[in-house]
Amino acid sequence: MPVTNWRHVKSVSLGLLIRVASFTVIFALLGMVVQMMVVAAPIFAASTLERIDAPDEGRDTPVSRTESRDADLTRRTYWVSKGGWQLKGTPGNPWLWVHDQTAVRLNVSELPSDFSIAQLVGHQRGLAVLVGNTLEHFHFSQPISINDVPAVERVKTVVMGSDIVALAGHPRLAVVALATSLSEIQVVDFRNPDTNLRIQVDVAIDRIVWESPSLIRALTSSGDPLLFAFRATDIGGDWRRLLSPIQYEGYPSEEYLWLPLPSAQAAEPKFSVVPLVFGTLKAALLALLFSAPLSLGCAIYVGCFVSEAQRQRVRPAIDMLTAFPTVVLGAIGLFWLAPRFGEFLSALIGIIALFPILAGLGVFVVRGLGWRWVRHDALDDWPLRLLPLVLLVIALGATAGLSGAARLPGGSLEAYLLSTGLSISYFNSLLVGIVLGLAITPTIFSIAEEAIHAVPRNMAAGALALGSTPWQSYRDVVQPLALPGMIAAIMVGFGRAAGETMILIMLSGNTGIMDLSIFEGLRSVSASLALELPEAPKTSSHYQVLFAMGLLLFGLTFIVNTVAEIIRARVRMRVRGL
Amino acid sequence: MGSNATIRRRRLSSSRYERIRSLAMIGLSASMVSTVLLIGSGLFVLLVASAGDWLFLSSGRLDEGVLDRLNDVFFAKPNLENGLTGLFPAIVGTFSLVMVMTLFVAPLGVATAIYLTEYARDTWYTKLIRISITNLAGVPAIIYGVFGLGFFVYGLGGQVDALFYAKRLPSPTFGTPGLLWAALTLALVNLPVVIVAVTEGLDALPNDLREASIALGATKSETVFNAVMPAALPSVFSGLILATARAAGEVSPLLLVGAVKFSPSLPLASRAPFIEFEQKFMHLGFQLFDAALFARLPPGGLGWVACIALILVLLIGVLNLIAVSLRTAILKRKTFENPF
Repeated sequence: MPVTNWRHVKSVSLGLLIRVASFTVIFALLGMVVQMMVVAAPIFAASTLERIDAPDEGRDTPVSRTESRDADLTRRTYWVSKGGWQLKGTPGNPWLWVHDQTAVRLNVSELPSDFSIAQLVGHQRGLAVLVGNTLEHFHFSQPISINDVPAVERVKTVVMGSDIVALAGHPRLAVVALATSLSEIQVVDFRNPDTNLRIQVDVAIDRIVWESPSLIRALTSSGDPLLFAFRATDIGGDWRRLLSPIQYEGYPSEEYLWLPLPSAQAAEPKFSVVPLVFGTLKAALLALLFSAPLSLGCAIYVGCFVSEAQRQRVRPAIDMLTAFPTVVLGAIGLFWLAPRFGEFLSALIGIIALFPILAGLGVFVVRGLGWRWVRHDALDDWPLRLLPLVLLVIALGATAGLSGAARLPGGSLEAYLLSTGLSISYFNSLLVGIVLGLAITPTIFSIAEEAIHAVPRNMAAGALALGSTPWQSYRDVVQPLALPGMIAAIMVGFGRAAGETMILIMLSGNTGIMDLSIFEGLRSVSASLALELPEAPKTSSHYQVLFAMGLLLFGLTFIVNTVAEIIRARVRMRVRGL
Repeated sequence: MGSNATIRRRRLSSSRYERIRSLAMIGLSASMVSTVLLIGSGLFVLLVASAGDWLFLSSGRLDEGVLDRLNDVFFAKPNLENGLTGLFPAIVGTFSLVMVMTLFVAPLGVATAIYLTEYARDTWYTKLIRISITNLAGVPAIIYGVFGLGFFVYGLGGQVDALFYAKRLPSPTFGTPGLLWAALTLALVNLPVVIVAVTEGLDALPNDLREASIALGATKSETVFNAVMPAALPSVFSGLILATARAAGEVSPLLLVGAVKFSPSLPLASRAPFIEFEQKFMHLGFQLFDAALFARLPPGGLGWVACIALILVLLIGVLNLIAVSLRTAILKRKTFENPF
């Protein structure tokens, strides 16, 4: 029958369509991972050097004339200007710092006098010196006051296989190009000593020059220049530079630094993701510190002690906290909390310290006075009945905290903390933690409450029938079964906090410092992504590093959520068996 | 005798201690609920008070009537320097974003939910889908933004430009953040929300419904679309409204894929399809972020910030409320009325 057939065709095709649509979810997840991997992958690519016939037009800005002249003083006198000091050296003689105005001359014992060639490297922040067959890389550090002599420090030593006839320092990076007596062009990357780039040519080479950060021009005796393209990411193909501390040129020691857009145009961008990951974890852990007691307390009460009908009312009421989007919470933190952070903090400390004592006491007083406000046999509307008490306790706690702070030496908490040598920044981690904690409370509550509620009621009832108090029946019967679920809830909350963006952008100060102090600011991975990605050029190392960081954040939340999900599934199985 | 008395006293005191402790501990956990409710309502009151004070009582411009002030706040030209006027384009931008997002998320989410509950058996494939859904729900929104920028804006947008707008290159048409890409990104963010809500609603329907329909000779798709879906419609709406509420408050992906501080025109057009898909748009949440981070707050700025925040909170709160009440209604109606 044709009619039936059409109906079946329609059914089958609709079914097919639905099957195809269901693939979207998997596509979204896989697509996200693959896409981020594809974009991030080139950052890990090794540097390359190849001979070319003509330079790519417009690929790079050529090195400015003055700079190449500075870098050009081979075999004669070298100078570098650091805060009024000039460095002078001639092969065979000791190096000297000469002051501009006073003409004071100081020996530089750190630099070898028996060198043959020396070249400035990386925008005048370093010096490559050739002694025999050994290439030594020195850093200058910027003098602090005008009369200090800049310090010179040897960072790396590379032994070359053959004699070197020409040397040129990269205008931006700690990289030198050199020509050997065997007519070989070689690039040495001080950032990544494993880099081994060499090209054999058939003519003798007199001099080499960096035309632009990616183009080397070698001048031969016959006068014909040879061109070489040098391509390197800003981490020189060494992924460890993203994770380990590095002594950058001009810095006195090894440091973790996130400075993707350095102020000096030619300076080397610094991509250490460690401060950002540190900031993310710090903010998330602080948020948990505030959120866990609040949300787990709510979950215990709602999940275990109220009737089903009341539960259906209280759950949405707490979920209403999600009606405050994080951008609103961030704005509240920024405009209302941050300006009076000291008072807020002292009040909060008072509340947190007095809350358990006063609330517990309050219950006794209420019962002791014979008011049957709170009863074991009517647990449903405790929150409403306790509301005046909680208000009172909060008011008392805040007053106590504020007056306590006023009695501290200095007259306020901030002044006292400052006098103990702590520095408090306007945007600090504690503020982030408090507001972020508020944002993740509904998430943790909802999952933990489900875990507690999933424990069969008859088990708690059995404990009650045997004479235990409601709290005992919760603590000894329900909690052991619900604990894994509660831990899973905290993990999900942690993942949520780690990925939260708006609150962190608005309140963290976005300073990439690694400091355990809760009064310092921080910069998180998510805030970096949101702030820097729109500005980063599509092909830059910065863009690629940001995608790699996105992948990192994705991986972190993915692992946390998957583990939490496995825990929850196992708990569900176990509870179902009861 | 003496030892007996001690035992009794001990038992008594221990049971008394336990009762007191129980009261105190439950009181503590219950007061956590009160605290959360207090914080929520406190924040709301704070916003209402600040916004109301600025709108109606503020001493700054007493000569101006309340209606004038409201007119300024909503319909005047947006003030580029310090805000304080012209919220209307941002509201329109938020609404058009949410509408376009619903356009994408509704068919995909509902289809996936139907597939999971009505079509698929429990296989590795459905397991994979379920795992993907829970994981998608946990992925931070900013990661969606990163994906949206890389895949939609630079990837798809670049392709669209190369194919259809080659004349305008190198200035991009679709290869730049805009409404369409923002809506697609938010659709992905909210896909799990819709799927979970609709699946929940479909699961709550009794099997009799499907069996009766099949028994009457309906095909699979007729059963799904004529018998099951009408009954599950409230859950579909609840899921979509929840997604809408979340989309209205989600700002972090928009920082990457399309919201701007000031857009000279609304993303609406007088000819089909009536929405300028490639245009950048203003957004309430982004206005708040911008006021917070970049604008130097002028006198009255606090009230302005509270005003935007209040509109957002009210919008999301009302949407949430509708969704939640729909959902409780569905879950209550576990069985259908007996037709006999």
